[in-house]
Amino acid sequence: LCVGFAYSGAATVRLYTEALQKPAVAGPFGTLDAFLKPVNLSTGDPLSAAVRQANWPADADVVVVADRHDLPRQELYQVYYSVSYLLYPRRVWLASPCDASRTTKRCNDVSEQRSRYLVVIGAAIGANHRSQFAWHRPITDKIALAEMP
Amino acid sequence: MTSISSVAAAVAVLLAVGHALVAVVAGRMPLYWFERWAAAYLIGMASLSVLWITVSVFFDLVHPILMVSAFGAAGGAALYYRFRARSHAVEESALVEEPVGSNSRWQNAVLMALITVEFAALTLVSLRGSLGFDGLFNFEMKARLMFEHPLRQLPLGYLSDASRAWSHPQYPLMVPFGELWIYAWLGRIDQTAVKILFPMFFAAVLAFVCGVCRRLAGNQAALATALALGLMPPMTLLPGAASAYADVPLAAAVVGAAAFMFRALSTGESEAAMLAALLLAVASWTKTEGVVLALSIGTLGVLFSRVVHAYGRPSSISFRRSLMWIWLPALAAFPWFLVQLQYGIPAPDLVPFSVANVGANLDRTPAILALFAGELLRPGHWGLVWPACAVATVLLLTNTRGPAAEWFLASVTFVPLILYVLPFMLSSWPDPAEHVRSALPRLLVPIAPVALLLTVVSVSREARA
Repeated sequence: LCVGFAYSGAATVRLYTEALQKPAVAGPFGTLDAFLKPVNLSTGDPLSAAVRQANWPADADVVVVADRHDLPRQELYQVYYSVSYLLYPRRVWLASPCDASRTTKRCNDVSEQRSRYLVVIGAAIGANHRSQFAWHRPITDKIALAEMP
Repeated sequence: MTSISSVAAAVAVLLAVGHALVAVVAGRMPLYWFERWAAAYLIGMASLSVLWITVSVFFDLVHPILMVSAFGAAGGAALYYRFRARSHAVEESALVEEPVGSNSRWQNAVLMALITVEFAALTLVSLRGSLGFDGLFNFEMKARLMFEHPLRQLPLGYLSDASRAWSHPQYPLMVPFGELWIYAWLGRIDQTAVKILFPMFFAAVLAFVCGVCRRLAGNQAALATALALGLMPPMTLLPGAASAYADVPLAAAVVGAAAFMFRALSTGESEAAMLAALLLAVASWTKTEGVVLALSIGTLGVLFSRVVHAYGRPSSISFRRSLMWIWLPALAAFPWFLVQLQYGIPAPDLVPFSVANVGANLDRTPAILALFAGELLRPGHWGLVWPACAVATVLLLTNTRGPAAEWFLASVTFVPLILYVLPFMLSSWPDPAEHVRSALPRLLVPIAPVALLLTVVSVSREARA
């Protein structure tokens, strides 16, 4: 037991040191803000405000469309869940992460599901497929709102 | 009120109500102060959450805090009862058995100082860091939805929202309620303020384990055990107290229940049995697996109470009384079960339980067991508590003098370990091994303190023998 706890104790000290070296997370929505960093958002306010301005209905189905090359899988889910947190009570779905080349099909699928409202993650999708959108509004260089025709 | 005083008031009311309830249930039972406050914290939070849900239909007429404060006043009256009742209680010191080994003051002081440093570091890391992934999306999100609802209730639409099935809408609400309680006192959402709840859950784990160890093995062993618990990263960091997951709150309820059941089985004290039943109810209101754990532990308790009875111990718990270890947690889980039946959606991580589904995945068993063994022996993770617990069980097997209550602790450790294989047989993840690696440390958190408790209790008994 003593050897075991000496070993895990060393691991604990190392992990505490690592945790204390990271910048402190503070503020009313500190954790959510930290989770939105991969899309260059320092808080969720611009996204919430943009959705309010766009008048997306409260019962809308919103689809998060992502280019998997832009974000690692873990970060993609982190951003998707954060978007879902912010856009409640709208239902928020994640279109399976796909290559930019497959995004046209994915966007068509979304259209077939009658999900007009998109949160587009990744610069490539925004740049390459903007013509398909009826409306497109970048929030940062990595996240945008869009509506299908 | 400032943020700090609001949070302090929220925690103080919660503790006062819990303390009053513990006094009503176990006012005549000798408990160390830290055990009493630990039980008060858990029972206070759970009972206020039930009260909150019950009276929330009136929240458009009366402010929630005012309404629940009225309950606090009732709790104050019960506190008066408690002080009256304690005059009849046995002196706490009378319960401490002969300490094992040296109990020098300076060694205890050093251990105490180390525990203080350990707890301060945990609190600092908790408050500085972010909530963990599940801490935010499975628990805090529910608190925020309740806080923003006009009647401060969880919106029923959320329970059937398939687009948010990943946030486990079927999880019980004790931890989200604790966070809502802070938000209600603050009057706003504050993801930093709620982090203070979780080091306190960890302190409750320490308190329950230390109470038993101090009684059976002396101060020094109790302090060393508390120190050891803080050196297990899954208990402290991820998925531990700093991450704001529900696993450490569940661990507190489970080890508290096991500790009081152990006492009830050893001494026949009915108040210990009642406290254990209440903590099992708290466990089943904390997490879905808490329901399974509470009912398993309750059933084991009933079985072992019969064993104690069969050995002719005059101080055994009656069969009828022991049944509350099953019906009280079942009663606590039942309303939520009905709500889920009416509005809920199936958990996305598992296929429905059936013999056919289990049979179809039997070939996963060797891989699951190998992953279990790997996790239990993982260097730097659990501090060899699992191998030590296995040795303690072997000691128990080879010693016929081992009391049935110790066998109960061993069963509380090993029966869940065996039961845990089943959900992974039903995993719907494309890669079940990834599911095991992700979920197993969380599943082990509630039973690791019981394993350590069993080890200390068995070793101290052997040392005395």
